[in-house]
Amino acid sequence: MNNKVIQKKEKISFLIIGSKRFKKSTAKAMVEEAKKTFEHVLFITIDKIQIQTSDSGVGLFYKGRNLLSYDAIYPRLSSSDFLLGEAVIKAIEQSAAYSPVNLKAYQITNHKFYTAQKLSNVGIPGVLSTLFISPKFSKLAVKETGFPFVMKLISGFAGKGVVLVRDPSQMNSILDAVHLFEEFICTQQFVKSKKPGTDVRCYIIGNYVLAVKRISAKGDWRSNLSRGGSAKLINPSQEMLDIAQKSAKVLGVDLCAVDMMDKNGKWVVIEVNFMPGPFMKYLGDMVVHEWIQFIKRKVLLKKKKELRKEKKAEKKI
Amino acid sequence: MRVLVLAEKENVAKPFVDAMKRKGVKASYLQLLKINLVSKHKNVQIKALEENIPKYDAVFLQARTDLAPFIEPLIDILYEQKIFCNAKPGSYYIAVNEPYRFVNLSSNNIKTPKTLSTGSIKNIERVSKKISYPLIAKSFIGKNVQQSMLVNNDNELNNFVKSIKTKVDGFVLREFIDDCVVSCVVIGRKVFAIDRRNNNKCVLELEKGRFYNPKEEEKENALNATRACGLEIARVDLVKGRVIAVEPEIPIDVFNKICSENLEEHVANFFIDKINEIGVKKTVGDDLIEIANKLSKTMFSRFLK
Repeated sequence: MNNKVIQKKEKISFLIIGSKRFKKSTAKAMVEEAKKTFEHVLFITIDKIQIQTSDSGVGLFYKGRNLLSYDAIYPRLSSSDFLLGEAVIKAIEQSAAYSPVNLKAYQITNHKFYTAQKLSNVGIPGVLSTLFISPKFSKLAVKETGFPFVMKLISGFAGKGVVLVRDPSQMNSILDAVHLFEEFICTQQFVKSKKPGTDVRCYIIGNYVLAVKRISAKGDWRSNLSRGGSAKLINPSQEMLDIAQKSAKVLGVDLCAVDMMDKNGKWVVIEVNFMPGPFMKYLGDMVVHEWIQFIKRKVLLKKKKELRKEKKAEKKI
Repeated sequence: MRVLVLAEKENVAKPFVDAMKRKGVKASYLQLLKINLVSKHKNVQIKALEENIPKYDAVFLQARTDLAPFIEPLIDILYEQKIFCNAKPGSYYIAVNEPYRFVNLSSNNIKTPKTLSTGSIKNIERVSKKISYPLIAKSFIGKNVQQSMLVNNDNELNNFVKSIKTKVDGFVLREFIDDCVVSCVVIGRKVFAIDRRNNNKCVLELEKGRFYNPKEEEKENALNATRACGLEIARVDLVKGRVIAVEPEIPIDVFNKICSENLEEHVANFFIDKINEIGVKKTVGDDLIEIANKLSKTMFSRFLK
């Protein structure tokens, strides 16, 4: 018998805050899965929230409902939500609700260079990256990466804003265009993978790691599934596990995805995803199910601890 | 004692560099635009064509808040390398984002005007019921203010909503406190203030304000707001003691003129105190000089000559 169907609903209220650019299929799958597990589930996009600051503190409201009273809140936000995203996650951090992510991770993972910097600081293998303000003074950066290199908009996602630069003339015209739009860019050494167009995504779910191999669509050197391509589950090596878990630990998050690729026989981190898609086309509801079950375990544990504390305090009285 | 002054333009940095030099600090200016940040395995570096950043004991940073995506990794590197900077990691993200700044200030129990933020234009009417008129309504594209308006009633709020023709990322409605703004510059524990009032009328321009001796409560609020935003030196704007803005850049010329002060001297003193508190860093050059001095007192002195 399918144990997912008969499982008991927990007295837990769960809130998912979606990005303005949320994917309907992901949101639907998450809500359906959550409703099987939690007594009360709400999904809203960030633009519907009211953020209130006054002498009585900070509040998040939706149609008069106090959102900070939920037991668990999972903000799934992208760089396009920054204006309200930082405020909302900060407010969640001040509340008693459990959240599998945090503000620092939101800021870092939505910045390609900052991610590379934070990970390489603790010795996690990554790709040589540079960041500069003015294209006029980009000589040093290019000296470091050499040609060809990958140029990325620091807040780009799903493979958008990523260009492979092969020579100086191509670089100058791209830099001029980027500067015109006042975008910050990061350059990264181009890593020629043993198997071009293939990389591995490790979903971090607490201590559990689910590894997926991604293969790009024909003719595209990027392997983002949103650009076509396919995916399949693999058994992660110890090296992959170590890198993925250490990356999540540095960022202090329970849920994320670490994308890595093979560089000369060694795995290096390409980026960390704050709001990973669950690859439902290839993995069904497997990832979503694991997310929800993990959040349930965390909230139950938290409630248990709080109850123990209360009892201790009562005894003292 | 070495301090690097990082700014976009030399005329901004020069008064600080000169003040520090007058006090015997080895200070120099580096144009922010010349910097490249490089992240290699276990080795994150700040590089510029002619400067070596880690040899400094401290960095004094004066930069626009919209450079936050570049400044944040930069100050994080300084923090990791234990180089003192007047802005801590996270401070520029707070300064550049108004809704986040107000949540941050309020979470730190700092008095601000009641503020409501939302992402949807459809929400504005409902949100406005939670706040009384007059109020300040702002719309944002990205983190930048697209439009700002003083709204006195429902009609004016409707006009504000109707005037928004482009796609915006969010709105802020803030209680309007009917009084003149007091602009403060905070340097460490010192607070200098200008009352933006002239002939009993409030003035928009800082230059038209007058010297003001802030009350203890105002001073504490300005100091606490600066710290809560991760800064040691900042400009803080208050209305009736409530914080309405915190910025890392300080307008020294206007403050020097109106308050008859030398803010650059105060900044220099603040950095000297901070470096003394933390301890001066030794460079390889210092070590070589020290070794040479020691050897000069021994039998090797003639080899050194």
